[in-house]
Amino acid sequence: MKRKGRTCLYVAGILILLLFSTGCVIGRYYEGPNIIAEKVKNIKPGITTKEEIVEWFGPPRNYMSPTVFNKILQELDITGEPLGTFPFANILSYQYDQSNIRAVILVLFNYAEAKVKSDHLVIFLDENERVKYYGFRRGTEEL
Amino acid sequence: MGSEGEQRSYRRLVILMVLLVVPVYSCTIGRVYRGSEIKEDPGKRIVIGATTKGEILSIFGPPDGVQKQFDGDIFVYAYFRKNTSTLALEDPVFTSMTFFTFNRVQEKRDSLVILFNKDGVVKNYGYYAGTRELEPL
Repeated sequence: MKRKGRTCLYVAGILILLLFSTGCVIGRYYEGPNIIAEKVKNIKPGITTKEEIVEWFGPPRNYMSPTVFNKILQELDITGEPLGTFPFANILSYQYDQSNIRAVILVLFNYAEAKVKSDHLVIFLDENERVKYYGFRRGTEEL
Repeated sequence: MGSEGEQRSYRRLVILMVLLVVPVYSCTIGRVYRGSEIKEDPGKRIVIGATTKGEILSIFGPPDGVQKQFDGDIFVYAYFRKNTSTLALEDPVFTSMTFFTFNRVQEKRDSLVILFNKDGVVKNYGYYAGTRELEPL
């Protein structure tokens, strides 16, 4: 009877140990200023000037160094070469990154998922520094 | 006799638990998605010598990269996916030892490269849907 109780205790101990080794991870990462879609609608090719764009959306991202998040992704070898390279004076690029990370750790089975999406606005200027073309994508809606 | 049978079944239970826990097979699945999918079919939407840069921007959105060439720009669109699966035989409870590991990493991307002439009209393009080749495990 004593042995039976001890065995039950062992089994319970192992099960508790397994239970406490399980976990769930949820991570969110946001980087860059939000791109307001209503302001994007105000952009008129041939009319809107570079000054107006900078006033509405702030300093373009392509004039700044790569973001910390992109550096981390590269360092950890999660993604390949960096995207979003626009080293040209007649292109203004704005980007807002959002990353959702989730993981379930059940010891015997683990699942991890990372989704990195961006709202991206790229504006091409003509020789008079007015908008020639622009493209906008709200990638964070796909998250 | 009954208690002997009970003892035997408990012993079996303990052996089974030991076999299940030390060591255990663990399976890890990882997924990474980066960027936006190229939803439009370039073959249907791009007409060489006719589609303009403005039309490309309204169809595919902003490019992920632009390269300048002496005879026109190049737009680069990319959607990246990475699938990893790992099967490990390990003892995570007592010794934390890993006896066997099988790791599989698949990195694929959909890439669209569009070349424009100096007038901003599509000169040529290349498309490769690599993510279709991803296997589930």
